[in-house]
Amino acid sequence: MSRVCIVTDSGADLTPDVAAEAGVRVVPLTVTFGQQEYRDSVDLSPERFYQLLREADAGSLPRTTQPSPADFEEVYRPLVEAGCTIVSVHMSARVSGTLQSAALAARSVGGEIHVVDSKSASLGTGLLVLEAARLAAAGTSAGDIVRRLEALRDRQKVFFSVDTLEYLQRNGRIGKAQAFVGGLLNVKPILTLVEGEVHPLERVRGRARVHSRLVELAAAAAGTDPVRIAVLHGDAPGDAERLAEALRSRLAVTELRTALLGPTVGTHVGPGTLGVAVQPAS
Amino acid sequence: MMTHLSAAAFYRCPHGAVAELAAQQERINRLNVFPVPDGDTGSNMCLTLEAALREAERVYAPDVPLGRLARAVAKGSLWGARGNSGVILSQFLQGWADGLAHCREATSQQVVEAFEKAVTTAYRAVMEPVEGTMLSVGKGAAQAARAALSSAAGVPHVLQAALEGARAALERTPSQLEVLRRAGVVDAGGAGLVAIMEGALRAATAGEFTVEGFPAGQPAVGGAASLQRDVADGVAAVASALSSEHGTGGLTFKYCTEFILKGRNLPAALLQRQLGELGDSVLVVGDGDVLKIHLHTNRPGKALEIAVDYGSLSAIQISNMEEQVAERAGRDAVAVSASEHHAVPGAGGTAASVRQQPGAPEVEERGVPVAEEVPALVAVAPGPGLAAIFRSLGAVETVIGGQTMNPSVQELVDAVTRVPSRYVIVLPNNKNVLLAARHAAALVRDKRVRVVPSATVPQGVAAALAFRPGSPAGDDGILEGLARDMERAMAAVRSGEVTVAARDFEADGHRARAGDVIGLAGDTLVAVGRDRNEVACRLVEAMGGAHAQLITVYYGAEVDEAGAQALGARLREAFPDAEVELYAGGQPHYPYLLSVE
Repeated sequence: MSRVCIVTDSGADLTPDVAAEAGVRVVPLTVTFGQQEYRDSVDLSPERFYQLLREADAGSLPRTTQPSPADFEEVYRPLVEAGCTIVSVHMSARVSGTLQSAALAARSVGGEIHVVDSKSASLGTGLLVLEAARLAAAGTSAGDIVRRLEALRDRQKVFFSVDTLEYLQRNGRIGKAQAFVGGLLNVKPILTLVEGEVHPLERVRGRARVHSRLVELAAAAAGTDPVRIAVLHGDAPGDAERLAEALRSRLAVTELRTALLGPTVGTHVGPGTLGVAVQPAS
Repeated sequence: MMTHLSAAAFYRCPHGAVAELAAQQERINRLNVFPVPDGDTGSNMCLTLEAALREAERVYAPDVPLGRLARAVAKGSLWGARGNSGVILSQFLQGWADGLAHCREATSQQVVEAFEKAVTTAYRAVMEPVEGTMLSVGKGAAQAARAALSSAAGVPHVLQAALEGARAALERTPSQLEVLRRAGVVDAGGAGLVAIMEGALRAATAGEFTVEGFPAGQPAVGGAASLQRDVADGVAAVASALSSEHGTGGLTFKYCTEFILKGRNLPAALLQRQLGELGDSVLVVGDGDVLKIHLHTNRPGKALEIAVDYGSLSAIQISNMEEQVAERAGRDAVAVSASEHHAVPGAGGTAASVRQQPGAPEVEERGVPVAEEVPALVAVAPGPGLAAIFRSLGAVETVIGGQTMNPSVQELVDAVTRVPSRYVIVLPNNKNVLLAARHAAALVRDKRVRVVPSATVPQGVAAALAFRPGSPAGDDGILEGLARDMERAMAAVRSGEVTVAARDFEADGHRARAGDVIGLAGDTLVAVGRDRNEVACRLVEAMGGAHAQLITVYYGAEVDEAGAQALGARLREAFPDAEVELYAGGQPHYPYLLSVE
């Protein structure tokens, strides 16, 4: 039986060492800051991204570009030639054209390449990728891996809050959260992803309330079942740590990772973002 | 001797009443239990009565029947009602008009019945009637009028008795309500009612009166064509709609049950208690041998069974209020169709006043919820900054209450009518606007209107945050669900106010002189001082600032930004674990409205 190789994009927020350890190939998006172009997580680390963001003036905020089909072909072709079956898991098609590039490349390269929409982003996608890698290492067939991912992505939940909806709005990813735009009152939106699109859940005021609502929503999603958790933040490590601690004590957590939102997703949500991804562990 | 009350004599009543009330306005304003400079009972009742007067002037003609004139007074007060006291006054006037409905002029008997009807109607208007308020003063008037009625009694005799009954009941109010006793005042609304009766009686029985400053012929009601409804039905429909929970749902108690009980030494209080267990809006009026009993219940038979143990029953009337409401709705629909051309708010001249909802759904292939089907939010704001804040939270219409912070029923109805949606949620944001808001909700018949009873601005903000614009209502269930989410959100907020004492007073272990800065948490006085920011800090402390996560201050028109920032700095220092947010609310009278969460 041929080897199954897992491919993803930099929007899954898997750091280079995590990706290497799991044996996952990451295709980078391009982040443009003013005149400079960077390949996400190749030329630009998350930490450096937030530093640049702090130094940037209002006019030159970053933009992202999806990888071209050629970028994917560069990765797929050698793998297919080496006899691999590929499962390529990517950010929601509603927030990025990355999936489309992957699909085009898959068609062009031929061979057995399964392209899967994670209907999520950041570690919401990343957790699915890691699950796929685990299954591949255990010898699961590509077809079974894909089925498992499709079942899991429906049961996975992401809840997050942004400091301002401005980044989502300017980058056109605001989805149904448009309804929450325009508060004079320093209101923080609590958002989720439904079918890979940003949806509004609630509006709250005050950081403490954001924290408690994220915990409550994660707890409600998990119930008593064992779960894998990812805590995501946009340069807010203190908030992330507090959230992680609260989640560990409230939920039956089998695995918890904390990650800085990388440049791809960070560009769209902005600094101060805080989120949690909840994945059933069984 | 005046054996009948003529239309001409009655016409003088609102003139005399307005004059008297205007003269006593300030004195009555100062009777407010809380020495806070708003919700002025005297001013609100005066404005309400002025609206009634204008409508009376509009319909008056030398041969007008008394009933029609009374109806006009009622209608004017209905639309012009401001504040709780204004609304209750308008309900007294509805009942009075109902009692005189078909009269060209009234006998003493009919006058007494009109008083009793006025009391019944007013009690029905209040969700939880409390003794020691305007209601008991009205009741005292009706009871005294009934007692004075005899075959020989002329109208002036009965009216005088009513006035004396009202005065006596007013004197009793401090013994009925603890807050009045402690404040050392009689009930302000009751005092207003007595003033009205004094002026009305003097004018009715005298030949002359002088009134200043009322331009004749101006209609009390606004020009909106929405008012071209069958008023008599509309007015009566309000009374039953109010007793049916804003007219948006089913009645809790279906049968309006009324009867006369005759016996000896009838135990009115005992009957009130026993009947109180069967339903609500229980009214037992009369003296030892004759009681007029009214209640809303689902077991009318049981009510009669209880009463028949004490004496004999007569004039029994049981009506099915659900049927009545449905019937009137049908008739109103027919009456409204003639004025349908008004019903496109946002068209033509009013376009400027209608704001598109933020986030109104754009057209998609899946089929778009139409603007009419998406619930809309209307908020009452005491200042322009707060109006902007509520609009930013999703309110499509805001009503600013003016110097008394109390918009009229008309203004509220207009705002609700202007909204394109058929489903509207109203936030009064002030406990003195609540009744007028409910009143207005009942008056708008071609929409589902639900009042979410926010009693303070911070409660309203919390409720507005839970308002989810963009989801279609479809049926009542979703409007109700949305309203309940908003009510739940309100419950977690503690509200406070910093203002200036309008008079000397003493409460809750504190003493204040007129002009002192006072801090109120809910209805409790917790801080008194001379420095606004210092009092505000102590208020926040008393409200649990030490454990707070979020302290919000909405500063009023009399505070400049520097002063507000100074307070902000002070609060951050005193409560380092909390976030502190400051916003310009622009409200009159209250330098600081604040919340602690």
